[in-house]
Amino acid sequence: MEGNDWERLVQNLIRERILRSPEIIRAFRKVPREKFIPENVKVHACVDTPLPIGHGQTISAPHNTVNAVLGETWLL
Amino acid sequence: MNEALKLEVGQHILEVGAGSGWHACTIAEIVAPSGTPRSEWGHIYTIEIVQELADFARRNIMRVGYGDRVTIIAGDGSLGFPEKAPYDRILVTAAAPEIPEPLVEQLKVNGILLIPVGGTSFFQSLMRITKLQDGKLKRENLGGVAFVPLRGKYGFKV
Repeated sequence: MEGNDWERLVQNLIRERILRSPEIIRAFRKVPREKFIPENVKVHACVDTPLPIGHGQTISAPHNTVNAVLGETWLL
Repeated sequence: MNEALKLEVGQHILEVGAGSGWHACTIAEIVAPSGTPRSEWGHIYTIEIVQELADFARRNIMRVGYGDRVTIIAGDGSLGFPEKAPYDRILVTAAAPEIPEPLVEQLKVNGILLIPVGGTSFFQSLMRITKLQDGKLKRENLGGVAFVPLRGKYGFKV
């Protein structure tokens, strides 16, 4: 179920032309965000928004990871 | 569009600010893809200043099976990680007041440093610094971003 939700988010990012490069698309599919967040916010893992991970820090929104960290495009 | 970091298989990478470990594993899948020979793999070192988050990230990285391509270090990432320098790529996932000198020093020639630079009010410029053959730096402003403040010696005093 969670896997399907993540795939839906990946497909949305591809459709919006945020995700473009085959290497980054492959990496996103291989490394779903839900495996990196605390239980209490896990239900939101496949929503394209930042989530708290404790200690005042967040895990990035997927589109922002593509944009700023992997730097596939600079259009925010 | 371009790719700011120009990631390739085999690269030696430093990330400042591991957080949950998700970015590091995503990048690992690009520089050390599952299914390619280990001899071709790159490696990513990621530093986290909050000890509890470093432990959290380490558990995540191990659980998803990237412990052989991602190394997490608890410490002040604004100082870089000279033990494994120089790096092909350095990325900083928090905003710095200015570009930390140690990170520039730990970059290979033709290496790229990607770092948000600006204030603490969640609006900064994403800077791409390329170290040229003669040691000079090429600076490009890739646009506005919003990151949490970098902590540590070369970060913000919070």
